[in-house]
Amino acid sequence: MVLQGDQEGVSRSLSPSELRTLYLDLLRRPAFDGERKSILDNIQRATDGDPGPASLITGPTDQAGLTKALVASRDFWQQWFQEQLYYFLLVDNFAPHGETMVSIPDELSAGKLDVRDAIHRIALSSSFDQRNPGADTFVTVVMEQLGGLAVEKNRRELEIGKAVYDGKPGSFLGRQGSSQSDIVRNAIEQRSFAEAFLSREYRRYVHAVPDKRALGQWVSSFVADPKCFAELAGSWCASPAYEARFTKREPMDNRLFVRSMMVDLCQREPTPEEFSRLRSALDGLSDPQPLRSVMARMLLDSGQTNVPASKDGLDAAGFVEDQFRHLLGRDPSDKEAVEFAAGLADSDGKPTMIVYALITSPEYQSY
Amino acid sequence: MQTSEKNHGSLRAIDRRELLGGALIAGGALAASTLVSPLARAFPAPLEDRKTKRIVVIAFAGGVRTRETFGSADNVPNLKKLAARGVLYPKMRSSNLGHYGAALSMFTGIAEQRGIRENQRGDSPTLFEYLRKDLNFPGSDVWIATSGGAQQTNYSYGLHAQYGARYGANTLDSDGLFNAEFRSLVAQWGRPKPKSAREDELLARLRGALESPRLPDAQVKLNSPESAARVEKYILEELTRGTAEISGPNAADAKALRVARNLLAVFKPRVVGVVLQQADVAHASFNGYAEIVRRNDESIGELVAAIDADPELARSTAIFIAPEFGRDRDLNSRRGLDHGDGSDDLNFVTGLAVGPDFRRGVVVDDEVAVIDVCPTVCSIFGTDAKLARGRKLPKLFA
Repeated sequence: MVLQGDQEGVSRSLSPSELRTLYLDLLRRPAFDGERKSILDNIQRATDGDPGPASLITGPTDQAGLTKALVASRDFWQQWFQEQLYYFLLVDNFAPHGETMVSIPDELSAGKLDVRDAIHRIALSSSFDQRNPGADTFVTVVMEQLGGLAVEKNRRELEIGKAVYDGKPGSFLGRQGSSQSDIVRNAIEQRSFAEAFLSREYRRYVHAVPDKRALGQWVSSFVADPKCFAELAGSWCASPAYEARFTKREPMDNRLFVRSMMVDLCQREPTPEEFSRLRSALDGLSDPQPLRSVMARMLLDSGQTNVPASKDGLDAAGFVEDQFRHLLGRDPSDKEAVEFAAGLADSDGKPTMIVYALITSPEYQSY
Repeated sequence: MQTSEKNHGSLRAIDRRELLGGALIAGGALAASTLVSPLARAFPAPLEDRKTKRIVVIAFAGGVRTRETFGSADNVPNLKKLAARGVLYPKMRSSNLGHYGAALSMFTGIAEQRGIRENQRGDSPTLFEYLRKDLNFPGSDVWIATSGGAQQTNYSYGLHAQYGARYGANTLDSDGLFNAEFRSLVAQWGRPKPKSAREDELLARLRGALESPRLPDAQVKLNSPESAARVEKYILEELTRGTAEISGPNAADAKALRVARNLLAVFKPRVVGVVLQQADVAHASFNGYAEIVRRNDESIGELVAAIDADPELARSTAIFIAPEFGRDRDLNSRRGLDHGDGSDDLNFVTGLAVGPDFRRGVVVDDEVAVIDVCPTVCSIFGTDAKLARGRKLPKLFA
């Protein structure tokens, strides 16, 4: 099955594996079964050239349309917000809980807030202040993470910033200031902020370094109107560079692994508590693979997943094919189909073992 | 570079008053050998004659001044006892590179600026990589226990093309993994059911049958399958020990030290690094900081006691301890201590080395550096930290 699209006048296709990749990049989870079925049904109707009544096509049937729909969703902004918090290491004890912070995804989704103001709000939060205590640390982090500046090359600016942080008037990054909030404002209004931010976000979505000339144009647009970010992100994921991204696999970070595992096995997102505990535990290991395997086993053995506990009455070949499509976004090869069906038929074979073998594979943990 | 023994002017036996006599007496460590003998060796014993088989490196990090450690009467009785058994370096130069960059420099031997919140690996190899690559130490022989969250797993290995993940240390961020919340999740989901040998065999067959296309090049394994299985088993067992219950203002640091203790008992690894972090509460509270220093000293005392109680570990384990940098000379407006004034309190810390091959109860007044730890550790095992810019600590060996 292919998803027909049209980019720069060229007809193109999107496979189920690519559909999975797009979801993982934009919503940081795979599609739920219902979503995937609905999208693929729509695509099927569109590609068959006989869609029947128009009302049967209930959503976008090409990559550009799907990308646009995903970027417009609240889920997209929720994950964007979570990734920003992680970038600033505002997690666990430093995770923000105030109303003005947790409302950020809703405000972004409703178009009431732009991403620059959202980051400004994050940097003015008490969580950010507690995470970066003291003049030296605070100003350094603002310069590095917001301003995109190398502190060792801007020592004088650091010293001025520290004085401004302590309430003394001074010209920090070319603008007057006399408070902690002025430090943040001055950094965020720098062109270097826009450049560092867009470059970082492009790498996150497209998994490639942006072209310098294109980046310069995006920066100019962003500086003029930061609300263009949604459009930019959508265009990145429907660009030739994103086509190239489909041809290589990227390792899943721990956050993505936790969300994918929960959605794939339980058809639900992890609760905030589950997510935080699992992510923190995995982040504590330089090689998270052994603990990922432990978590997958725990979840599969818990009986809380959608995986059948028994193989009684199960069509082995059909089950194996479904699991490959579901977890890897592809059909099994002939050899894989035979071996996995035989494994399930073995006296010690169980459906959970089939799923465990797939979910702990390097292929599942890349996308 | 080995310092010449001729430079006796900078070497002295620890003065009883200097280390508050009681500590020395309690340690029972000052014997005749602690006097600086003109016969003391300038170079370590040949590799095959060395008693040191494993090394613990503790980054007493978070920014800790000498004033609150060896300059204080009561804060660090355990460190003082240790000093009486080893070599004290009171003039150890550090670099204010942010906690992450500065602590990383202890393991790489290179002082490189890193972003304070930069969650990226360094460019240079760590001592763990030198040891694993040059001496073929397996993954389960090289560990690092941390307390500061995700960023600290980057101490495991760097991005240097000739080293990297396959030579990295197994890192455990103790507070992230061994906490009551994660344990309650394990209780809620239930522990995994044990697998029979037959099931393991079947699983291996399934995994072997996978014909995965286009896997990422960078997915290099730090652990072999055997090593990964041992790590998996260890994690499940550690969850049932008391580490998750440790509480108090230094809980995360104490857990890192407890994990190090348990790793030594379980794996008897060749190298264990520990990175502490919580002294950084000093920004907001001097008293809170001093309390963390006291409690971490207590936890280090427990680690040392566990080593001393195990005959094999006692006769073969060396310990290095040093902060990554100090703190400002003066209190800030919140009656806390920042780190950024460029003072000697910030730029010089006191380091200490104790081990079966080292001198006992001496103070080396030479200026040394935090980045000297990496090449020193490598040299003890008989390899060279090729890209490190630090030197071997002088006047260390008995």
